[in-house]
Amino acid sequence: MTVSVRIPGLIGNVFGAQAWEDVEAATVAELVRVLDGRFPGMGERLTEPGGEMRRWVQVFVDGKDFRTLAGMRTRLSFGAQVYIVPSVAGG
Amino acid sequence: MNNGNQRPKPNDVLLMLGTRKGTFLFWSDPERRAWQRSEHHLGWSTHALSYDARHGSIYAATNSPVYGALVQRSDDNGLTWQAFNQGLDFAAEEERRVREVWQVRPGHPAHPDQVWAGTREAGLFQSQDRGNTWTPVGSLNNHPTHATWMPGGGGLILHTIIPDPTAAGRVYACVSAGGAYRSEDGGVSWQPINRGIRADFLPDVYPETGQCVHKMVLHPDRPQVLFQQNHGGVYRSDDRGETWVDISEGLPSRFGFPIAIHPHDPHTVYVVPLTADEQRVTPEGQMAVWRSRDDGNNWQKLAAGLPDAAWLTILRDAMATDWCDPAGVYVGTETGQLFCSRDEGEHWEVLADFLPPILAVSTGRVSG
Repeated sequence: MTVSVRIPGLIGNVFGAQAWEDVEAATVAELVRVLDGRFPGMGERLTEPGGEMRRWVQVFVDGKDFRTLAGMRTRLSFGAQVYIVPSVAGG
Repeated sequence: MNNGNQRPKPNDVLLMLGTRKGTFLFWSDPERRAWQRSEHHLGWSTHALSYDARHGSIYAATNSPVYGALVQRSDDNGLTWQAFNQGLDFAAEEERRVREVWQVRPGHPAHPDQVWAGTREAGLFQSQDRGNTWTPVGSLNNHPTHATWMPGGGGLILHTIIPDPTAAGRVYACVSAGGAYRSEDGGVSWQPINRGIRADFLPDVYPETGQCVHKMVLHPDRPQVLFQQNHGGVYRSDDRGETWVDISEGLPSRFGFPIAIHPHDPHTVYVVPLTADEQRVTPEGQMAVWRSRDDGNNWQKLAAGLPDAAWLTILRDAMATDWCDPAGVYVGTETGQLFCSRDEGEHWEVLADFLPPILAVSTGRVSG
């Protein structure tokens, strides 16, 4: 299932990712695994050791907060747009 | 001063700044009058930098409240950075998590790929492959005295790691607030080394552990001697930390964060006293570095060229000496000034200003 994922600049710069990456993934968890395979180390920046997303990393699947869907098990449909967004706070 | 493409050359003085907003590298020939600089990791908070002379590498302890703790390494003097550092966290089943990395230190030359890291929540981690993968050092992270550790102003942090350059198995680690520890077997076992150090904030002012050590240093020519800036005073140990003597007399305050040692004279140390302990600014608004040339028995105020009417804060890793003769001394402030002395602290000038809050200052001699 090919989806488009928006990579935040701070980690995109570190790992050499483009602003938009096309990824073959059926769930959010698989998307993170694929990104980590393409950009080794990126997975640890996004998720905790137990596999859940870091607290201040937001994911929107076709505009919906993945935490209001099925979290890491949220299914991705063909052509879905996935935004990985850092929480906005601080100075 | 800015220079996009040139990089440090062999034998240059490399001055590494960690700031709240990224990493800044400065470099110069040993005259130290014409500095170039470059910026890296903007958006990340850099708590510490180390130069690894064994490989000519730079390690940066970078952090993000969103993406966590990330050790980055450059093998080309900052031109490119490698950010793969798997496993810099406690086991998944533990409640505690690594939220920031506060220190990265190359290991003993006998173990050329060994690197140590210290973190918040306080933990010691070891890498045997130059930071690509990390393993928690359970012997310290789960030490029987661990229950006495409690967070200070920066959280519960392991902020200082000192491999003894003269003994491959000996390494020191410091926790705030937990105290100093020493291992004689490469980190397999640890013993607290805090005897004689006050902890005025605890009911028992001389506990075995729980002291708030702010920074500790040793000199490779006299490795049995340790100097420590503690929350409650400046101390020296002449026996690898077994016992400590208070050397604060003569300073305007017992409190401060950094301590640095002269590169060629193991009897000379530098501190920056701050008004204790709720204010934490330069006493009476006078920026000054204090130097002892006799193991802390006498102190001299060094302020020529440093500002008054300046209520500054200098954090634990924000002072360093270089390897030149006469030695350079560098101090960074939480308000983004970088002060520099080319003559061992006698005279000072502003090397850079308008930087983000400076968390760490360290130096290296660029290898060929």
